[in-house]
Amino acid sequence: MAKNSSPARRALGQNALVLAVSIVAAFLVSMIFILALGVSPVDAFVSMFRGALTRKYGLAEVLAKATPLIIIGVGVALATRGGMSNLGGDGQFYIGAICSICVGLFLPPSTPALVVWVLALIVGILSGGFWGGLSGWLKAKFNTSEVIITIMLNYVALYLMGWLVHGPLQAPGGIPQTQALEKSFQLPKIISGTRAHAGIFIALASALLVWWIFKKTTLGYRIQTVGESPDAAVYAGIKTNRYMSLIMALSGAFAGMAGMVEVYGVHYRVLEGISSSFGFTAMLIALLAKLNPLAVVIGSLFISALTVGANSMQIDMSVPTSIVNVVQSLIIFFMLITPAIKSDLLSSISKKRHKKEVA
Amino acid sequence: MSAVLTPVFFVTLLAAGVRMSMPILLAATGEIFAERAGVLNINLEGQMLMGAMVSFLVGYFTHNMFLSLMAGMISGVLMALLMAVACITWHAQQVVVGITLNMFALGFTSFWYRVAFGVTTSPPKADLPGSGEQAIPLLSKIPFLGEILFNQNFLFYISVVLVIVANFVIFRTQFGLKLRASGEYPKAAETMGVNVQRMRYVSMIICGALAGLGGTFLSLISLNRFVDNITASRGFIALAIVIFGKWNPLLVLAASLLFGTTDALQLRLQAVGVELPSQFLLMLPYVLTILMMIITAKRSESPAALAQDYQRESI
Repeated sequence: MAKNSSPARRALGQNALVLAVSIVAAFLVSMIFILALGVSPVDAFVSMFRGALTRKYGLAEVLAKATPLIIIGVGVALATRGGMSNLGGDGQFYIGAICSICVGLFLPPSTPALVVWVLALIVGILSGGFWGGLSGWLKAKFNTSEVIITIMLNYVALYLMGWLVHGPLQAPGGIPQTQALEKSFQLPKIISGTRAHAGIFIALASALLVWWIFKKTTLGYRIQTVGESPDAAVYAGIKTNRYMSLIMALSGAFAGMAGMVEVYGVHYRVLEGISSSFGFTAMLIALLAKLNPLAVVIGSLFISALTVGANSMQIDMSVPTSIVNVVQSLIIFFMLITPAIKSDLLSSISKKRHKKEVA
Repeated sequence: MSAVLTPVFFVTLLAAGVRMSMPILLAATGEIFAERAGVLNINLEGQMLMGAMVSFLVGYFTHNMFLSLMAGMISGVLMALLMAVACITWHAQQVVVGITLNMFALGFTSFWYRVAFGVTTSPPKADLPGSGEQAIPLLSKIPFLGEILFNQNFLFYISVVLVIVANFVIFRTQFGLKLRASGEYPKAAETMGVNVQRMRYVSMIICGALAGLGGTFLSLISLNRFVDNITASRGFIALAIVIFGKWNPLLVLAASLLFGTTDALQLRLQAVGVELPSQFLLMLPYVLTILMMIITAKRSESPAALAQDYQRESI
């Protein structure tokens, strides 16, 4: 390493190295899975790469899949920086989706689309924020673990949504789903004939917003202080209890917004199974990105590419798509342990040297 | 509604409740060991899931109950060891590793189940010998109580014994004292000659075995099949029950029974056809968990060094 490199640059280099090692290790382990199926890993990875990155459809699909992950992911990163683990992304997403679709369903079809979108976005943000804020408030008030509460609230939201699409909001025809949005209320496509939609710009704006909050505002500074040293935060006059609710509400607001974007951009209605554990995936992406909102964008694109690629791998080679969960969790697992292993190795080497010198 | 308020309804309800509470009880008992030693094992869910899937596969292909139980426990232990190595030896953050490994377990189990059975609309059943009820002679003839407590699966009897043994081990043995010391004040424990890291490893192994057994109970005995994410966050409910039960196996037993009965109640009510949307009944166990947490969390005193990494000071 060059002698004049700054510590920050060196840290970045080290992070990149750890990430690269972790990705390689995770792929090596998943190769064993694929080999055990009697499939050539090379063929499998080629099919994966082709499916995700060489066709217009694949690329568009990557963008579409990354959109909700980015939005939920930056929210999760914000909460984690504030010392709160938001595992309730799915629940907040459902609530945001179901509340925001009501805007489009109940406004007259002649309403300008922009009005509908802005209103729906606000409703998604408020409802998701309420659902997330609930677990922060409960923690501040009753000292409940936000990990457990957010997960429990996921199920409450899931069944609430289930009841609405089976009952009061069900469209005629017997299928458990709401009515579809007016065509004019749907978010425009950015690549025609695919599912890639304008929501990706909302996602990018969200990432920039969170980046800006932490870079430039006192709010971001305070959230960070509450997360890193709650005692110092109290000393500095920050009302940590109030911040717990606020942090979770902000985090939930992003997930609720993702619900709106997914409904208006992809499905045009609410139906069961609208989220495939986005919340947990977003948590892993936030960790992968080391809680950096801009890196969340890259992480989401990467994980979405894996998902889209895995779909084509399943079609071509019948390798189950759940391999994606294995790969992404292993990458993070290796990321978490690599620094420790490295320092262990280094210290054992220096000990040996030390012994030699003594001898 | 008259079908609801009969003695038969209550007996079958409580018997089912006892049955439903077992997977959570086993996992929660394991978690007491881990947390008493200072490890916040959020990976409990993953350990249950692993146990549920591996024991189901072994049971389906060998038709041997003993082998399946062993497989379930061992897979739970392996999962727990992965967490232990990362958190105890390599000092990674416990909560983060737990979350990550839960996702790993979800992917792993879904992957291999699909490899074994393909995509099915009707999941195959294991139908293991011994997965039904085994009535205890005489005791099972006691009115009401006999049907509820002594006409259950053999694993239920074993589980209850395990909980009593766990209570004894934690509060009445030298090992239990060392375990609690490792979770309360590891530095002091170390100066008294306790190997804190080893205690934490041992507690994680016990926890993995019990969680794996809980998963096995779920897939082979309660439901007789495996489906993706079969545990449906029961591992997290078990975490809540540990807090509710104040890290005490006997209190946790009581809390699990309360919980299992609620779960059974919502199933019964659905079967009877109560005029309430089924979704609100399905919500019940999760709402109950939230209420439980609200009631107890403020007064609960967790082990002082819970979720804190312990590093031996180098000499």
